[in-house]
Amino acid sequence: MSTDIEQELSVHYLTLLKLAFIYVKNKEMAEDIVQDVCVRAIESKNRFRGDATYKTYLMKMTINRSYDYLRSWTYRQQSVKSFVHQIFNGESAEQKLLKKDERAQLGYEVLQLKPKYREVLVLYYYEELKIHEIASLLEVSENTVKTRLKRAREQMKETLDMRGVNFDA
Amino acid sequence: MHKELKDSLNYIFEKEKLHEIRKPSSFNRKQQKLTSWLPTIASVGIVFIAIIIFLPLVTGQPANIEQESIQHGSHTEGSEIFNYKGAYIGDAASVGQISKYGLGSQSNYGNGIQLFTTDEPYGMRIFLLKKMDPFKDVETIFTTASYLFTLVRNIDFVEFEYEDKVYAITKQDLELTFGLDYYALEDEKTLRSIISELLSNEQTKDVIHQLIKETTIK
Repeated sequence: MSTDIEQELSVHYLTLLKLAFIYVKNKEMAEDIVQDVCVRAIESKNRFRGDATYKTYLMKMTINRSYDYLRSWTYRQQSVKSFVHQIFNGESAEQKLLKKDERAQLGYEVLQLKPKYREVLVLYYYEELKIHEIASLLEVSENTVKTRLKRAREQMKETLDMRGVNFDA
Repeated sequence: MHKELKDSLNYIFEKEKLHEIRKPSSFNRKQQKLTSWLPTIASVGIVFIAIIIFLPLVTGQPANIEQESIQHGSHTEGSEIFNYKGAYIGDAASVGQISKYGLGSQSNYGNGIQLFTTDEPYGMRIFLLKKMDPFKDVETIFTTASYLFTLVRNIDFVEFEYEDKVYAITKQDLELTFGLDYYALEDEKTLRSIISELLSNEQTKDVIHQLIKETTIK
């Protein structure tokens, strides 16, 4: 059983890593979160009831863990460190280049949205989940998902219009 | 939209080298690492909470702040605008939202922004569809600039452009003149209270007007 779970975790590892990154915007933090999710998944293997796919189950755990992390002292401490680092060292050359890179612009703007808008855009457009699947994953109503998607698109359009980038939602 | 967004996010993931992260051979190792840090995190957390509880007593900050009548913002709720605190001038999404909020009812006349992020001093220019008069619109200029100076970490000036006129105001001028420290302001009530107080007095309003520098684009 444990080997089966480890195989499942290996298959979905990158998906979970990307999902966590969408929330915390930091590779190391995302890695910590996903590893923690993996540990918890193995520990609580008997809790999976099989009423959703195992991937969905892991995604839900990753989202919950990411939110925990965003609220945590560790994350705030990390934010302060990066703030101090930015004050003294500024952004790295790579970060500056990435922000200016046209290919990264759309994704970068998504990452600037609030988590609740960011997640629906990514789950809908990137993970290609259906509205009802997103609603179930986030434990909100379908109408809430639709509203958040609408607002997220509006914010994206507004921002990209200001920057002269065409955005057709 | 699907494809563009996917490509863009994949490009970011690629640049962040997420694909290169190796899956751990055992998923149990990490737990040990986290557990070993828990006492440290907990003790630091307790100190942090204690500081939060006792800081207002030490600083003697008054608890009762007057409610102000200024109503701003078309899309972002008042209580939410301070969620943008800490944004950098390069963060166009946040800066755009704050500008819009600061402009209030005038936000319909906003026609885009330009960010000056290459060299210091950093700042932004708001393009307007409606002619601005520094006498009549001193409130709009000052309020918008105050919100930006309070919430955006590294902004030094704000400019408003309509056709060939540019009206500029700097954080340094306002802070030195009125003894303010914008970035230290932590809540909207205090900010509104300061804005309202300075605008309700004709003398300070006149001083603000004098701090607005007008230039003509050739």
